[in-house]
Amino acid sequence: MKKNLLVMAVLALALIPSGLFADGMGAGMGKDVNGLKVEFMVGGTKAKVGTNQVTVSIHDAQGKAVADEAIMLEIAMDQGAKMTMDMDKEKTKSVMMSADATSPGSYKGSVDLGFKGKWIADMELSRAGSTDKASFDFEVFEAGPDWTFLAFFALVIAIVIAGAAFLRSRRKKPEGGKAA
Amino acid sequence: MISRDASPRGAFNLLAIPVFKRLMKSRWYPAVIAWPTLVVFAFITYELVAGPSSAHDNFGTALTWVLWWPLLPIMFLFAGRIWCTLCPFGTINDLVQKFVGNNRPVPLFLKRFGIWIIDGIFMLITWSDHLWGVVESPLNSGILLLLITLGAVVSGAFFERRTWCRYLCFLGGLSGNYTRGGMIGLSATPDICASCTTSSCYKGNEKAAGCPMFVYPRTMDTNADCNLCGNCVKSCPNDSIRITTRLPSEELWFVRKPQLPVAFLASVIMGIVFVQNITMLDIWNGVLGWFEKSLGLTNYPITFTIAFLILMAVPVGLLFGASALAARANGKTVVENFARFGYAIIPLDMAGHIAHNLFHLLAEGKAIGYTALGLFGKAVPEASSAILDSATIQVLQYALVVLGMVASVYTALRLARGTTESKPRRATTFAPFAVLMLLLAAVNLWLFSMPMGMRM
Repeated sequence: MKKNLLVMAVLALALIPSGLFADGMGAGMGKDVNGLKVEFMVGGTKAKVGTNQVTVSIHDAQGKAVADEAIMLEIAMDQGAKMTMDMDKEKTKSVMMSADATSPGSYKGSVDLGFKGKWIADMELSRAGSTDKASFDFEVFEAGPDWTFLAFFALVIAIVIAGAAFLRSRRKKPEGGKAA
Repeated sequence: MISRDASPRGAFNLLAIPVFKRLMKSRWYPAVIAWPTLVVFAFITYELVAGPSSAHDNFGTALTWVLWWPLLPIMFLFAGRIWCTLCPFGTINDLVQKFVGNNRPVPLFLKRFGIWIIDGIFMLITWSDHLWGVVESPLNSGILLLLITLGAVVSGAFFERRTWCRYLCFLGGLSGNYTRGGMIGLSATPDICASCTTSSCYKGNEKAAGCPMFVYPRTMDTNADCNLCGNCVKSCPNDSIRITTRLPSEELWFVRKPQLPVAFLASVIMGIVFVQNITMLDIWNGVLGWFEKSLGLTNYPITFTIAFLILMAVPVGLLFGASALAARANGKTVVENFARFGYAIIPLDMAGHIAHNLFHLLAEGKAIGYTALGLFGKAVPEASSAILDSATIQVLQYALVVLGMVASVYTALRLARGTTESKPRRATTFAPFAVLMLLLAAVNLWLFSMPMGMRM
């Protein structure tokens, strides 16, 4: 019985992937644009296939937040990286950016990125009659599995199996022929 | 030597083929097929949860929704519920049961309401697929497989035999319904069983375990619950078991104890076929738009849910209406007619289901190869995934729906014959159901006449 329990526990633990806590590098980058320091970030830690939050932070040369920029942002997959035929997922995405009231100088929006590979963000910053442009390229990675869900699933399975093994160990084995 | 077996309807007994009989009696069957299936399933699940997040590129999605799902109803038609004996969820149930199973009796509420729960789960999965995307999302597909796995584990851990497969699995409910119209049937020989005192087929003996699906071949009147595992073939000391061929839908002509939930599931499956078809057509957005405008709604989940419920209710309502008309003619209650004639929808269900999935199999079949190449880092640019052109697939779909309609109408005719002795009353009983089958077939043909969207 103990041996069975041990085997089941090991099997259940084996379901929990070792990459549970693994994650990649961030997709943030900065540029000086006509005296402004512009930081651009897609996704929380890295840009992934699917919906990503886009954050743009703008500060002047003295490090003071610039909160009155109008930002036009268009994101498209790099032409050289296209391999597939789903044009809808590859077409240029216009991202609506709006100022983050809680963090002056920050602007947020979201974008749905259909494929992994190299993508290019073209940004147009307008303020007080002047317009500046900046371009950023970044890598989009596969979203990967939801390890938290999988770990939870493995845990539930392990609990069910352990519970069943415990109940079985408290019962007498049935006598007679082969069980159904 | 192969010989014709004397069976009630002169059907051919496949166990008269020595090789087939050896296979069914072998201790390696079904394990020799079930275990490799489990390995493939594990790989598919891994690919779904850890592979490419785009369905278009995911090999697990291709194997699940382009290959396995379309082949499933075809398998039920030609080989009965044999999938259920090879099914990885069943194997997991057996494995858990072997090591830690408590073999408790099936709870009474499952025996009573299991099929209603299956009806509900089936609708819930279809509904959630359109709201959150199960087919189009590899991860969500993987989560669905894992949730079914969890159900099988719980069942194997606490309950006897294959409680999950018989009373809770939505695939089991689907396969049970379709198998009634399938071309393979297992039965016992009444004359031989009359003198049997062992009931080994149900209880099991040293040669094999008892029937995992809680079926007693001696008294069974339907193959809906038989998964052709071969246990009764192995354990019967009198060679009473026969596995015979039969005409498609033949079992449905002789329904003795019609069950309301089975008839309800049959009509619900027709609704699901409607939903699956219409949501892949260009007209769907127009339909949703019309709903939003008419009801003054802007919330997609609510609009979709209302549209979904209406589409589900249409076949149920039509069957109810036809049953009400028939009740006037044959003196049975509406519910009795609903329960009996609901079985006649099954061939059309199966035809519509196969026809819908035939599109995915034949129009996207090459995606299986392309995504397999993707596993090795090779991309296939700008290639069509179609095996056959749309026009040819459409002709096949029409042919299937017409065949299903003929089988459904004929089944309704046979069932009408069994309800009353009076010929005029038979005709007035049959007429509303014949019209119903023609109407459902016409809707299917109309849906298949329009270009459909891809899964991948």
